[in-house]
Amino acid sequence: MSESDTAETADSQWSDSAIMLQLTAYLDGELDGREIQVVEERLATDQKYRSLMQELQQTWDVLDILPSSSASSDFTRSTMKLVVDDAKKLTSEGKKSIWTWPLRALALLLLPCIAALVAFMLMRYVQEEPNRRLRRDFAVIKDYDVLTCERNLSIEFLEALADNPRIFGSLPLPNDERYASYSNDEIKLATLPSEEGSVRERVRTNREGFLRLDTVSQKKVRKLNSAVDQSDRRDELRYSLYQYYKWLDGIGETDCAVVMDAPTIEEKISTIKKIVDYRYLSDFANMMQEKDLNSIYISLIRLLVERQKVLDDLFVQLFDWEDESAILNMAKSYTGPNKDMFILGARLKKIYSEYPERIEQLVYVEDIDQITNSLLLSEDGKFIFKNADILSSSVKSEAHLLASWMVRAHDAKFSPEDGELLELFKSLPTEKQDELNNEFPADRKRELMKIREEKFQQR
Amino acid sequence: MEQEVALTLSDSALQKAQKYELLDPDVRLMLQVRDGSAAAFEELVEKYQARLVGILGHMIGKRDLAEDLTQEVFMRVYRARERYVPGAKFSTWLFTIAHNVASNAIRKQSRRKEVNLTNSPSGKVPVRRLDRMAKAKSGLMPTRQIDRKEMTVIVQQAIQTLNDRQRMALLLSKFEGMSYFEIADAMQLTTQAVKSLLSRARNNLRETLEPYLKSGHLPAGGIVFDIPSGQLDPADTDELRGN
Repeated sequence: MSESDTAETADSQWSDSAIMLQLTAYLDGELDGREIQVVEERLATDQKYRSLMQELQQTWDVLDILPSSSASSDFTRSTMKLVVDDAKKLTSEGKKSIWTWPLRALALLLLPCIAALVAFMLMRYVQEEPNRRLRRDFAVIKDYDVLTCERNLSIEFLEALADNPRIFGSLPLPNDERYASYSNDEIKLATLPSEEGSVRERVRTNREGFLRLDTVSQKKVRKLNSAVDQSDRRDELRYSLYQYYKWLDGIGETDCAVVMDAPTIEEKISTIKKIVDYRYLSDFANMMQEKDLNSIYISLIRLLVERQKVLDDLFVQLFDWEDESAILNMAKSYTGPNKDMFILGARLKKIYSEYPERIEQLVYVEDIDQITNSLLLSEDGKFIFKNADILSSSVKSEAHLLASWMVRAHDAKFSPEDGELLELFKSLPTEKQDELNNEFPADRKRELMKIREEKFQQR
Repeated sequence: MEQEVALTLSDSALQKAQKYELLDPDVRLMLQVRDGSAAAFEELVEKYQARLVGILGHMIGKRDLAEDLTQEVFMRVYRARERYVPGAKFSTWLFTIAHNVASNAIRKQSRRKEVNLTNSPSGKVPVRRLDRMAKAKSGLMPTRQIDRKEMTVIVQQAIQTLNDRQRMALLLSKFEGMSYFEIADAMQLTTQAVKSLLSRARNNLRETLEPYLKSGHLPAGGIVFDIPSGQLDPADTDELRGN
């Protein structure tokens, strides 16, 4: 086939295709007016074109031979039933899927999380078992050294100690930093820092000591601690225990052995008293040697309050309490106490017989000599904080001492209204009173007097 | 619900919906179906069942299957009722669904046919020769007058020679009287594509049926229709065989 023939055939085919499109659109009524006119003009003149159109029309018409269709008689009913059933099915599936999908998704998400959480909790539980045990024993560990200061410490012995509150005399009050309040939560045993001398260090040491004990001994310590905690006299027993612990720490090994070897609680208490009395006398004798008047005053007052019996015994030994000359004579023969001291002692004894609590409070003021911001024992027996000026090198005279007491008595919320102290103050020379007035300003004294009067009225 | 639907539509879509609602009573029925009216749906089923069975029957070539497919079309319509927004005449929308259903069915049939072909011992595609079937029935040689029944079968089989899209476009045009625009809408084609489809479909039919139409006889050599296996209506085939 030549190139010209090929081109002619292609043109013819294109032409046929275009004619077919045109005629089909014409027969289908899809041509506009101008196109229809073009077609009809050609139909009028072109025989072949017209034949083609007729064939197409004939073919189109022959399709009418196809039978008309109809659905079966129950088509509508069965279709409606089918559709309704389908709708119900879809609704139920929809409802189901609304709940099942989120639940399934949630379950799928949560399952690994729950498993991981359980595993984590289990691991942590196992890992922390030792610490948990220690936390449970924390209360015991905290006081382990105190609770084990004596091998056979019993609740009955602690009660006997509590029945004798002054058995150890005047001891440092329990403001030791080791007994500062702290909670279990604050102290993580696993992460305790090793700070020398700190509360934590003490706890750490106690923990090690406690863990070294065998199971039976651990149970024993726990039992004692629990008994103290559950006792109605819990605070008293704790304080007695602490006093005993401190006292044992301060006495020699021999005395310590004597106390511990006492077969009964009664004998043990008696032994403690004897040792304490002896130590007071010993301290007093030593104080006499020093000839430091202020120290002697303080020592005397302490002896008076804490160990009056010891003082009485001493006085009976030294002089006739009712005869001052005898006192003086005895004083002369004694290397330590002088007349003033015994006069003061006698006066204090008199005051003490009338106002024992007040003098006891004053004793505590003196007992914390050289310490500021320390503790005073208040009237109700509880500890309160006061800025107590301390009698020390500033104490220059008996009057000054008494005046200081007055001020401290005021600070300690009890009134020195008795004539003895006030009269002493009034008996001072004017310049001395002025000196004290300067030291204790007038408004302070007025305040003091006001409180004193109120207390008088209350009584 | 109308308000909810309206809120989601653009102004032009809303105008279109209102237009079709106004012009097409079937659209109004469908809107009633959307609002839960079973009676309206039943009315639509009554109205369109025969037309759908006819179109789908010609598309698939199996009358019994056509009814099943028609039910599927109505089921799809009902499932889509809550989302229905008039965007065309109801019939256009309905035949869009019918076209999809028919296309799916034809694809399934093709897959089944492939399996059958694989199992065929000869491995050759069976070709039905209308003339042989006609001869078997008539016993006349070499030609005879074609009667109406035979012509019906011939036309049916001629339609089956068209491809799916040509066939659907032809059926919609011929039996539903749809314009090119509506057919394009239903088949999701351009108008130009529909024009081209119909042109080819008509020409193919013309070429296929020309011998019968001109002479009114079956030609001696016969004519070969490459009709996929199973697409002939069994009743018609049996009749041709003289059973």
